[in-house]
This record gives sequence, structure tokens and C-alpha cells, in this order.
Amino acid sequence: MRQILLPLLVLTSVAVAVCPVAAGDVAVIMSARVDAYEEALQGFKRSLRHRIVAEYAMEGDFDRGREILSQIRSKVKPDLIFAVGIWAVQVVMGESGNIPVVYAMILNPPSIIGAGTKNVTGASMNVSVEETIRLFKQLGPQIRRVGVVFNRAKTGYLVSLADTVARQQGLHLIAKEIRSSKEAIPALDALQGEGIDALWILPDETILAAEVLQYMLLFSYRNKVPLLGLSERQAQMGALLALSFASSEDIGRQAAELANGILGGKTAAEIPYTTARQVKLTVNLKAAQKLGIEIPKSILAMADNLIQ
Amino acid sequence: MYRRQGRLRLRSLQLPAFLLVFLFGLIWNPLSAGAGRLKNVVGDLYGGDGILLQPSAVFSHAPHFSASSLQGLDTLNTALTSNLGLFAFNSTVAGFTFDIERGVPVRTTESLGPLLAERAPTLGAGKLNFGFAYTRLDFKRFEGQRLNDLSLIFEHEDLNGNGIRDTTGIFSFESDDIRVDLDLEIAEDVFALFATYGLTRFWDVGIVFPIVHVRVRADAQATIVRYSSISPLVHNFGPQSDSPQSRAGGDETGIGDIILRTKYNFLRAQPRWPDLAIVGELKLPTGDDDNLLGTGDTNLRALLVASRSFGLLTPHVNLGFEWTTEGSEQNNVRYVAGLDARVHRSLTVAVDVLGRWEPSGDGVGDHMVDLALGAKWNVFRTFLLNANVQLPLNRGEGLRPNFIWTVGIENTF
Repeated sequence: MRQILLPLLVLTSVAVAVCPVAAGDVAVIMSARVDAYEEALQGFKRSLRHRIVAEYAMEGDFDRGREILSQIRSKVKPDLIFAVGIWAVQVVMGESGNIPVVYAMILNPPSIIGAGTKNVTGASMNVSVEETIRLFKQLGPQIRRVGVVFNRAKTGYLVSLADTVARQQGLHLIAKEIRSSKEAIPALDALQGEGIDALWILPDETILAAEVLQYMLLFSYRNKVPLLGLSERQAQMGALLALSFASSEDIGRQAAELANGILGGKTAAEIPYTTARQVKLTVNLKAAQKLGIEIPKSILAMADNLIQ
Repeated sequence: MYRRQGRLRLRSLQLPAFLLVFLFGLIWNPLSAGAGRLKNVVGDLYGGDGILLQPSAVFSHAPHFSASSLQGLDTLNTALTSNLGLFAFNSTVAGFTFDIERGVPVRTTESLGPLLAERAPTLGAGKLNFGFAYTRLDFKRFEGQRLNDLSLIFEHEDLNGNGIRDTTGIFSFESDDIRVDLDLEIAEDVFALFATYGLTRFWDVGIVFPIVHVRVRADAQATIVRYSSISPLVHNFGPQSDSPQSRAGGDETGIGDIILRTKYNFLRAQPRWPDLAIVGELKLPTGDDDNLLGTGDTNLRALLVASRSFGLLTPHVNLGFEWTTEGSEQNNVRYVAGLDARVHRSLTVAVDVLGRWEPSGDGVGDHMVDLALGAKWNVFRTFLLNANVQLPLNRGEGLRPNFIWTVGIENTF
């Protein structure tokens, strides 16, 4: 028996190598033609091992998006849909279907994609919670209580996850829940009374209004509390640190890897969504000076951009 | 529109504009110039070989006068085409930028772009822009003089062969001139089809395909200018002379000079720099220059384009040079400066100053400067209506209309 098994195994391996899995058809729907999405699509194309048979851009027009989806389902009939950006995902989510979907370039996927949705996965723009908490820890032992203001509908899942990770790292997450932008400033005032050591701006639309952002910056300087922002722009405005995804193209590649897995036989339910693999750290040294904070060398060594 | 792998298929188009133009061109009523050479309309007056008066019984000779100079009216083709501004590459509609903090695209306040100037951004990979424009030019002045009030001087030949036109003696009639008062009508209609395709995110290629209709009419009235006392005995119009009136001209319709274009946007979205691009244009001598439908030359133009948006306003500058196969006299510097502004979500207005300067010019139309005022209206989705008027700022240069107006439509797929 053993004499048969080994040659059989060899033959099977050769057969698989010579006859790879049949190429799948992928249809692309893009929310709008912006550079970030185009780069993601380029990354997707470079890493995809299957065929793209159709590409559409809905240009922010949801009626057009629905027409496109209808055409995809009735005429193109791909094996997988690649949805780039939030509008394309919203269009695809709006109509149930059994074609698996891989998305790229969205924030907070759990707030957009229902928990019961089984055939959707993708590559988000979110920076991983673990990486963020690790950064707070690296700031120094004085950072123990990290404050956040959030809207449960947008980033409830993120706060829940961050709370768990923070506890594991010996930090405490002090979270103030709000329902609208109007409640953001009173929530920040409430955080002041909680004795927080750092403030974290979540990727939550509810707290991103200009006046709220300004208030957070003022809060940071008045209370000598380091502020972690979402983008280089926020660091330039005065946040001590900023963490953001570094490469749209790499997010596209991540999405392609997920697509390859699904078209190779896995189900979307088996593949969890990913966070940004490549991250950009901005450090504002002027802000550090004003806050009286010494930035550890380990953080300076990691920084992609220093504002002086 | 959707694309199959490697092929571009368009959904049903309305009757393509170029078919309409071809049909229009076929049914246009061409009144051809007698010799089919509109270029020589002025030179062909009075048969093209000067003016012959009735032989004199007093002094036996055939009084022959020829034009000392056509004063640049023999270069109508280059004079005509140096006026025309072309719709630029631009037509980007409904731009979006990306808000990295919110993770969503945001409609920009950026305008729909200028009409005759270039700005740096390109169409986008795989995008096709297709359009049609109609331009009307009704020329009114040449080197500052009204076209209906030009004068040419025809001089008497040197009859006695002494190398001068005698002012005294028996040959003093040589000093007589014939003044030809010229009423010139020149008008041009240009129907241009243009298409631009985004090869990559940063590189566009395009083509302009013009159909041109030219009408030239010259009405001349000759008058003898007498400088000698015996002139009335020697020089007169009569049954055996050329008529004092002459008329020449005609209409021609045909393909103009096709232009191939390309634009490469090499700098974009840098915090301290404007967006920059280079534009290259190759004008082919496909138009019949004898009938003023083209220049007869191949031209190559290179432009550096800079633009940057500041909210609703986008100032832009174009600077470049054009080489022609005609020679260094026609080589010229091109410049444009202006801005466009999005005054409404679907309406952009633009104002530009356009200039064309021939450093080694022949003295006719060496430096022409126009003011252009235009508007683009985004009617629905990606469909635009355009309108522009161009006003000469220095009417004393070259062949000039009072204004040039252009209307057009375009769509991006």
C-alpha cells in the first residue's frame, strides 16, 4: 500500500501544479474616480490571480450604482464582486445576492456590513487597535488612561475591541458615548474630570466636525494631554501624533489576497476583514515641546514624518 | 459604460456628431473660386496680372499697372489660422477628492475647467471625452484697417526702361498710379470634432478633427491717380481696358488641419507646488492651403501648463513655443494666463488672456493678444455645454474679427 501511496501523492501534486484551479471572473465597482481608489484598484490588479471582466465607476450616483449592480448580476455574472469605497459597498449591501463580495478602502466595516452578512469580507483602511494601543504604551508609563468620544452606531465595535486590548496592555479606556456632534464638546469636558492621560481621535464621523476637532486640540494643550489623530493633516494642526494607513495600493493588494482565497475555494465567512498592513506615523515635535512631553526614541525611529 | 477585458464598448451613442458634420459639409453649397485658390483672391483681381488701360491715341503704349505690394494680403491662410483658439483638453467633470479621516470621497469645489486654456490635471485612466464645437470668425480688420476700406496701389511700368518712374518729360505719365479700393469679406466657420482618451491616470491623448468653411469675397474699384498734366490724355478706362471694377472670391469647405495632442501631468497635489503638465500638439497639413482650409505647414507646439485650485478658483498659466515647417518667421511663442471659477455646482466661468508672438515675424500680425470669456454648464451627469467669446485686444495686428464666438458640447464616458 505504501508503495502505491507515495507515487500517487507525487502524481497528484504534479497534476495540481500543471492544472491550476480555473480562473475566476471578477467585476469591479468603484465608488468614484479618486486617486486613492485608483491606487487600490492598481494594487488589486497586481495581486489578483484571476480575471477582471468588467469595471464600473458609479461616480457617487446611487441610481447608477444600482443599475451597474443589476447589470453585473444579470449580464456579467462574475464569480466575485470587488467593491472599492463606501458607496460601492453600500450599493452592493443594499441588494442581497449570493455573489461573494470583497471590499477595499472603507472605514469601520462592522458598522456598514451587518453581522449576519456571510458573503462579504475585505480590506479596511482602519489602523489596527493593537498597534494604536501599543503606541500609547510606548509614549511612556505616565499614559494609563486613554480617553475617547464615540458614537456607538459608528465605532461601538472599535471601542469594545480597544477596551479589551487596552486592559491586556495594562491601560484603561475611558469612553464617553454620544449620539450627535452637539454632544461631543460636553463629552470632552466630562473627560477632563476623569483625569485622562491621552486623548484618541477615533475614525468616527460624529466627532470630526471642525469645531470639535479644534476643541480637542485646545483640550490637549490646556490639559497637557497628548492627542492621537487620524491623519498627517491633524498632526499639522497640532495633534502630537497621527496614525493612518500608508498605502491605498497595499490595501488593494490585501483585498486581492482575500479575493484569491475566496476564488480558490474558501468562503468569505472564513476570511475575516483586514486592517491596514502599512501604517504611517506622524509626530509633531513642536506640539511635544508645547506639551512638555519627550517623545521616546522608539517612537521617533518609527515615525514616517516629523513636524518640526 | 462597461468594459470587457481589453475592449472598450460604448453604449448607444446619439447619431455621432461627426456624421452630422459630414452630412452638413456635403450639402453645404460651395461657390468655388474660379481657380479654386482662395489664397490668391486678392492677387487674382483684374485677372491676376495687373490692370491694363485703354491704349492711348496720343502716346502709343499699352498702359500697364501692377500692384507694388499686396501688403500681406497674400498670406491669408496663416493670418486666418493664427486667430483660432482651440478648446482645451480639459473637461473634467464632477471631481472628487478623498477625505482620509472620514474615509469617503467628497465632491470638490473645483471648477469644470477653462475653455481655451489648459490646466494640468488629466482625464483619468480609461476615460473618454468626446465633443463638438462650432466657431464663427467674421474678419473685419487687417493690420488695423477695416477690410471694407483697404487700398492697394498699382504702379505704372517703367516704359522707357530708365529704371525710374519719370515725373517730368514726355514719360511723366509713368508717375500715375491706380488706386484700388478694396472691400474684402472673409469669414470662417469651423466645425471641430475632438476626442480625448486617458491612457493612464496622468497621460491623455487626443485628436481635433476640423471641418472648415471659408468664404472670401473681394470687390475692387480702381481709380486713376494722376500726377502728370498729360495723364488725362494717356490714361483712361475704356472699352479696350480692364474694367475699373473687379470681383473675385468664393467659398470652400473641407477638412482643416488635423491636430494630434497629448498631455502628461507630471506633478500633482504637492503642498508647495502647482499642478504641472506638459502638452504637445502636432498640427498636420491636411487642410487645402490653396483654399485657406489649412496652413500647408506641419506645426509642433509644446506647452508647460501650471494650475492650482484655491477653493472655487483655479488660476492657470500656459507657456510654450510653436515650430512650423514654414520657417522661423512663423515660429511663435504662445502664452495664456487666466482663471476659472465654479460659480455654481454646475456652472463654471473662465477668463483668459491669450497671446501669440512671432519673435522673427514678417511684421504682419507678429503679436496678437486676445481676451477670452467663457462658460461651461454641466447639464446632467457628465454632459457639458460650452460657450466662449474671444475679443482681440490689439486690433492693429494681423487679420482680426471683432470677436470670435464658439459653442460646443461634450461628454465624458
